[in-house]
Amino acid sequence: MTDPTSGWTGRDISDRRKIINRLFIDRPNLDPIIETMDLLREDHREGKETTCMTVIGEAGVGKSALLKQYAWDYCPYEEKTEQGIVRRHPVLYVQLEPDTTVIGAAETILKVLMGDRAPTGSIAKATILPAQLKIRKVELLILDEFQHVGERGATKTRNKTADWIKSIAKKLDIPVVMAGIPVVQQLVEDNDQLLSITPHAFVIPSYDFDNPDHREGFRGLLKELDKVLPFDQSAKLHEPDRALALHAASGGNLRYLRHIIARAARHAAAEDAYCITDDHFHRACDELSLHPTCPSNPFASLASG
Amino acid sequence: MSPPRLAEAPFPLLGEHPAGYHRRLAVANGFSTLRQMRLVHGIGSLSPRSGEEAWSLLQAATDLPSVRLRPLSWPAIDGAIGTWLDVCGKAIRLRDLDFANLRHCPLCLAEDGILRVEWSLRMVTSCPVHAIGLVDGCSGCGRPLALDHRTDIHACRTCGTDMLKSPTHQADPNSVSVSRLLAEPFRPSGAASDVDLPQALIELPVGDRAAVLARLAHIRQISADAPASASVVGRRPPRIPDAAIEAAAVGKLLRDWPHSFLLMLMDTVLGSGHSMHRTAQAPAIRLVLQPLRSIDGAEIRFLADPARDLLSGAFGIEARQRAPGSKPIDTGDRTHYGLPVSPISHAAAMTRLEGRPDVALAKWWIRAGLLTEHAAADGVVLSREQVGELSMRLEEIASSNPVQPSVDARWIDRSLTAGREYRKDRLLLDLFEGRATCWRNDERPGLAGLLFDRSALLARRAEARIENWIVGDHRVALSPFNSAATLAWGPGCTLQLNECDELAARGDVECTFYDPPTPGAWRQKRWSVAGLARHARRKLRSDEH
Repeated sequence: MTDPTSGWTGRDISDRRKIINRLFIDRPNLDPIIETMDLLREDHREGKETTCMTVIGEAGVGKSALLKQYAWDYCPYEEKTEQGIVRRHPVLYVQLEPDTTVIGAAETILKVLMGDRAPTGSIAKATILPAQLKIRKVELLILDEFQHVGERGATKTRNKTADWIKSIAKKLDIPVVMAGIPVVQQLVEDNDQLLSITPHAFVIPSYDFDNPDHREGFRGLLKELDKVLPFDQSAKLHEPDRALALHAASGGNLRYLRHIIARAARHAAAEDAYCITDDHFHRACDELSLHPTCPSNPFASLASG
Repeated sequence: MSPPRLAEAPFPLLGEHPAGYHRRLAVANGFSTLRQMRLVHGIGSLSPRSGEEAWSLLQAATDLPSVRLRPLSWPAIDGAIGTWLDVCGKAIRLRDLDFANLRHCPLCLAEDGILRVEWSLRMVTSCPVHAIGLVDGCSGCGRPLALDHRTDIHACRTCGTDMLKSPTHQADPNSVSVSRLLAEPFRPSGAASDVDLPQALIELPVGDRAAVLARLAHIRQISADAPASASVVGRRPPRIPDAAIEAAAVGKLLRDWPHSFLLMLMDTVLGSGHSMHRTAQAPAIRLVLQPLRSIDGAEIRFLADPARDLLSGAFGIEARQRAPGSKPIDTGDRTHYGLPVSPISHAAAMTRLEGRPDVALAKWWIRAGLLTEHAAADGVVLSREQVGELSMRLEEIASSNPVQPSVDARWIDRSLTAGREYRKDRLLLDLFEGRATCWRNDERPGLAGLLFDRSALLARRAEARIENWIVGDHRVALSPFNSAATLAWGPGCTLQLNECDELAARGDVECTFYDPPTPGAWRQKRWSVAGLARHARRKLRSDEH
């Protein structure tokens, strides 16, 4: 049992809320994805042949969180040299807009690099973007929600998209991570040339509680999450009943899970509680939209018990 | 909302022009036009005269320390006399800069792609490194070079000709010297060590150097265009071909200063036969004598023998202020030797002074060569001390020697009584300075001759040109002598023998003694001054051929 006087109780609620808002757990089963991205960057630095990768998963499985965290770990930096100041952007994470074209995607990337006054139009794609990627020494380009590029277009549009990715990979020697829902993989497989330069494909599944491995993984995730929660006492999230209830409420989807835990944690922090209780979870599930597969509040019985 | 930071923010290089840095910055950040960079980062046109806002935007986009960006702007210097700009930490006069023409060295540009500050100096017309002429026009279409919104400074904006492939030509060494003199402070490795120019000029700050060179160019312009108006000031700076000629001429002047400068002035200003009085008023001379001032108003004096003193000696700066026909003016430490009028008029004036209507008196002075005829005012200015000393010596000689009465000797008496210092001292001056030598004949005392040897005659010609003497002026036909020359020189000019000995004994003058081969042949050997002049003329002609 955690020492109730370890320090969270009585502290300002804003401190706790900061932690709650940034909940993230390293998931060991996703280490291969991180290792592959490291490998792609290393190959780029060493001048080896550039390859790309895909990261596929249903909405909410944690793709974006993982990729954003990776980009955050290798955030842009500034370096002072004898000749002046250089600014580098080793890992560039870009979330693409729905129903975007290739030019639109290029514009979005430039906006991330250069701000709202970034150039637009075909010149942005053809000239400015390649120059900026090269100048800023981008080692890895992560395009999240990649399915949005040309999603309403015909085959020709999809081919244009593929050509664009190839040009970035081949001409600029910058590896690209295409992340999104499973249709992204289809986009890649439909283009032989793009497929040939995308040997790495990863799928992040939702947690299936009926699967023992998934169940253990889910409970392990909850245990790690419990450790970082800003409370003096453990909420014992990983215990079977609670874990089952959380899985039922979230459908094994990490996005849902995060929302539920975050809301419950806020309630507990507001009451200056030592830990999150079933009652807090009950209230959180009542307030939020649960996973479609969850018909009712699974904490109703736990809270009343 | 502040603009985003640029990916690459290089430091400006030493001596880099702001327009060049602007383009280098754009190229380093992947922009093909300045307009693109302006749209994203807000950095507008960067020129030496850009306002504070432009530099603030640059500083915000690069995040470079302001001390690094400071040399790119050339602000006006407060409290200066005239308009001076701070160019990379050096004070330069605004009018010594050329903002109208874009100059560059194709070889420098090909090597490092940097537009250089020194190319904006008006007198820099050649590359101090490669010694080739700078280029300010397209080799293809001939249009003046200019920068536009493109970052590529290599291509002509009119016809697209690659300026890096402009044909190059060796620059005049004098213009290269001038360019090195001005470019040295802006280059990491200065090239001034091989500049063969007056040391005192090299020691001046670069702004003062530029001012001196500009003044010389201006004087040359005016004198070349004599009679001139002063409208050259404010004119658009010349293109390279004309500017290079100007720079080369100035470089040559500096090498041979001050003699070539005087010769140049004489060639251009005096050659047209201007009277001395009008000459001294010529715009070029006035400009020469006008003080050249540095940023704090102090006069720039870069020579041990400044032009003004020389020209004062040559032209008699005070004398020129007198109206023709006036008497010499004693200004305290100076006595004016110039005679403003013809000797006859002067003699008439003197006779008026003395009350004796003796026109012939002047003739003796002329014959003695002590009185020269010149049409206008101004002559050599000597100090009072010099005049006094010479006068005393002559009096000593005259008083210590038994003067044998002779027609020829009367001029000394006359000159002694005339009280005209100029005449009696002039001869001694000539002897002192070696322009004349004298000889005697052992067999016949009391007679010596004055010989103006060829080099002395040439020197006297130079002086004659300054003082507008007729004798020796190559524009006046020496054969036959005109009546004025004959009047001036007369049949001969003599000194007493003992006077020659006295002078020779003192070592004040070098006397050449000629021994005639046979007695009686002396007469034949005695040359009149006119004869001497004819002899010299023949020798000159044979030399020229």
